[in-house]
Amino acid sequence: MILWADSISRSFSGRRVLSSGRLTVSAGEIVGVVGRVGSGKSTLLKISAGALQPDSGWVQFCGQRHYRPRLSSLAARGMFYLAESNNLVPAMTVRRHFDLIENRFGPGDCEEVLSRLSLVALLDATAESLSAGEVRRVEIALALVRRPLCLLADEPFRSVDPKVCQLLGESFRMLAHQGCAVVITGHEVNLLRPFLDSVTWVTSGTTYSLGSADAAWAHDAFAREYLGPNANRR
Amino acid sequence: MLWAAVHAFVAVVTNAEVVVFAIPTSLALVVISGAIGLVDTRRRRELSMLGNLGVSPVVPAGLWAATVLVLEFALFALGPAAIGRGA
Repeated sequence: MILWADSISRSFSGRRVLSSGRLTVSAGEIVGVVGRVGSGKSTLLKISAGALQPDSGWVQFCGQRHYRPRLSSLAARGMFYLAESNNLVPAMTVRRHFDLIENRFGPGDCEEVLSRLSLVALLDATAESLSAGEVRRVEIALALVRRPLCLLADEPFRSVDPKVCQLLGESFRMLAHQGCAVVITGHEVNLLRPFLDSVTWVTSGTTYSLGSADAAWAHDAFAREYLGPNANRR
Repeated sequence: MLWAAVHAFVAVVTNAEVVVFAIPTSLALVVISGAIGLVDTRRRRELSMLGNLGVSPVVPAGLWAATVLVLEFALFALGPAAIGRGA
């Protein structure tokens, strides 16, 4: 198991968002973390990435347990975290972002990745001039060049068109094929479903590992409380 | 720049050519510089990228603080006698 976060609790201004969160992901696996808005899935992801400190619990990454996880130390060991926004430096060009990643972690398949995600024409554009879909493509391209051991992506399908969603999903699948452990959150459950190996449901401050996407969609409480009565359960 | 501006401002106010602060004031300037470095990094939205590069947010703050520390030390070591009349 590459990443294992357990017994995670976290409160904000006295309001407990997570009381006993758990997240596990193995190499080559894509885990979807789903739940209602405010259920704590982003909080769980942030804590697992070391971008937020838990009130209690721990994060085990590559066999090393962290009670106060830090993104910088986890990233040095192979973590890559894509927050909902602000992953790119607005004033910096796309090319500079790739240069930084390659200078820090060694050369990747930059040209192939840029070509696959149709980013060559955007290399000299600054991040602040990109559309939401372009930003998401650059972010996932950075992850592909980085080749992390574990990628945590918070709402990667938000505000992007179906074609880009497909491109992003295929990129996640490609990373998983390379042995990367991938965790993604989102509400676009029908778009997410084909790419997921397993589903973790966050509700009432806790998490439930529901198994495969098919098993999750067949889960009565998940279908009733999250997918809704009209959801396609097949 | 900010460090030079602070020194220039105090020099103008006190009518001195070179301002060498007392050690506690210099240290306060170093700490404030570090805090400004952290705020500036956040303002530029660099924290996430730095984090993914394995760079702690303490590093940019430390660089700001270290720069001011070196400049303050240089000014203190050289002294107003070497540069001009102090405040």
